[in-house]
Amino acid sequence: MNGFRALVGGELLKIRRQPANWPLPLFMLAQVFLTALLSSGDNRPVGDQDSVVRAVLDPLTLTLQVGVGLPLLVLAVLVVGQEYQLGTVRVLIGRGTGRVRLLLAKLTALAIVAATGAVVTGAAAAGALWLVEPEPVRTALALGGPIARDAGLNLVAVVLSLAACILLGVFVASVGRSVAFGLALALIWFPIENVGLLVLPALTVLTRQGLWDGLTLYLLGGNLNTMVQALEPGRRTVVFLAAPEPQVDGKHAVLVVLAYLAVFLATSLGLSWRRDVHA
Amino acid sequence: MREREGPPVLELDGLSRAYGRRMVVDHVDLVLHRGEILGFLGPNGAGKTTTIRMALNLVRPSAGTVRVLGSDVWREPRRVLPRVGALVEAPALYPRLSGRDNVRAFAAAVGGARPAAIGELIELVGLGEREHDRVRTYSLGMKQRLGVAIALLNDPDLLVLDEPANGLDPLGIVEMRDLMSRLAAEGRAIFLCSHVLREVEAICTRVAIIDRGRIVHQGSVDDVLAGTGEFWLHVAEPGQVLALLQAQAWGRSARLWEGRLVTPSPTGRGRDLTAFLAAAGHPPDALDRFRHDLEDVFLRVTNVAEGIR
Repeated sequence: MNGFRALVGGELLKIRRQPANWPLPLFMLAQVFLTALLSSGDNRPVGDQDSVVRAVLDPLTLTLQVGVGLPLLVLAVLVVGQEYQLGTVRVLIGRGTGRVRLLLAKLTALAIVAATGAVVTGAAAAGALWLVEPEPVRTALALGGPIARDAGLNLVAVVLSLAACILLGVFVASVGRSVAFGLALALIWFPIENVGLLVLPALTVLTRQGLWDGLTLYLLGGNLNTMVQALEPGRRTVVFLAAPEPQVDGKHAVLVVLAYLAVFLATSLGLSWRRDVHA
Repeated sequence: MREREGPPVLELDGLSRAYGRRMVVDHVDLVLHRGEILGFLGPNGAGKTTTIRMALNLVRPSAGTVRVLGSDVWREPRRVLPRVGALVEAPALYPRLSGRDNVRAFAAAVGGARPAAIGELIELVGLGEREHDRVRTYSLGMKQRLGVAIALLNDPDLLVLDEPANGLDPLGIVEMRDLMSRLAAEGRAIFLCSHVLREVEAICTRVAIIDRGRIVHQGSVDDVLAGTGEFWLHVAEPGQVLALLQAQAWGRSARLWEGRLVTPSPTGRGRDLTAFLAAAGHPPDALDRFRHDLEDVFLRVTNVAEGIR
């Protein structure tokens, strides 16, 4: 078997067979129910294209960003952190698995899980929306081509969110080399940023310094929250949690997120490559 | 059976590692050939584990090289390390996976393994009946056996085993000893770290003793344990015989050692010593060549290196 494929297969085996990972799909399911619940009884008019997109694509996007993203964040920490915590990394590297190669195999396995999770969760969420609000879903399916561009941009937002969750999890686990440290940092990252998005504008008012508002423009969470709106400024979208002030444009949001992804990836690879293994 | 010609299986050449100004491993030179079992001994903190970690691509050496089958481990890890099986310190396993899934997961590191090969390894270490149980339910000895099975993945040429008998019951220790002897007889080289010196004495062909990062003694087990042409005696009146021997020019180093009388012979031969004692009216009840035991050698050379602890 090809060496890298075997490594990825080994990572997928560990993800699939470890009971600690089994509750994670339940979170995806819970998010699907939540989306269906919030969408039910929302008697929005479905006459124009924007309202259809807002009623169908935006809830789906949010379901995938949060419902798949959060479990992926936890999984990424577990997949990297447990190897150091259990000492198994020394066996893998001691058998000739390169440090960088091992990390790339883990990232590939996480990407496969992300794609599978997104497809399954997306299908479940679409089915749930169709059950609670059939009219917008039918209209969206009937519209087809005209909303393809919106769907594509929403998909970009989902892909960037999922990539950010994976790389953030891998980054914090690589830095701390521990599940506990990784989970603690990963799970407070976005809440702290969202609190920051609320607090920093208040500081601007209090100190009359524009610096604080400026900071909100470069927070990962804020740019992910507002990604759909930034990519599709021509329509009103569902914005989840807090957004940077002032509203950023699509190019800015994508570049900031890509910069974070590059830093997370480069740091994780650099630390894995350079540091001795004492686990 | 493996080809016994070719480069040494393991060569450590000037291997060193410093943390700040402290040399943890200081110019270690070792060579291990096929079919050899090298006992690598040393007090706690002597540098054994760091040496092993450098040999396994885990800790970067400050200086020196590690070669396996002639290739530099740090330059060509993917080429040579799949040929090295290791069990370092406590067995590192995934506790929530079954024994079989653990072997499968680690097999991925060497390109995968056939299900039949995995089953054979599990049977070899005597875990066939528990292969589907989660590892968290295993005893320490069972984890140790599983660690050995994982080390044997991909039929390695070199095995690095750190305290492999740890946690094993007496029968398990005997089985482990037999397994190591068999693996070495098949042409593998085994690098064995152990604190059980009797085990090392029983199965190793060579020993190397490290203290404060330096190799302070190495050689074949026979050479290390050989006395200096002395004999031990069992006699009826050891006190009188000791005085008699020490009065001879050739017998001044005669001494009582662990309840036995140890002495040189007038000519270096046992028969002449027996004849001398018989003529003096103290015929020995038993006489044999004196050999050190490994514990004695270990304590002596590590004390020499460090002064009295």
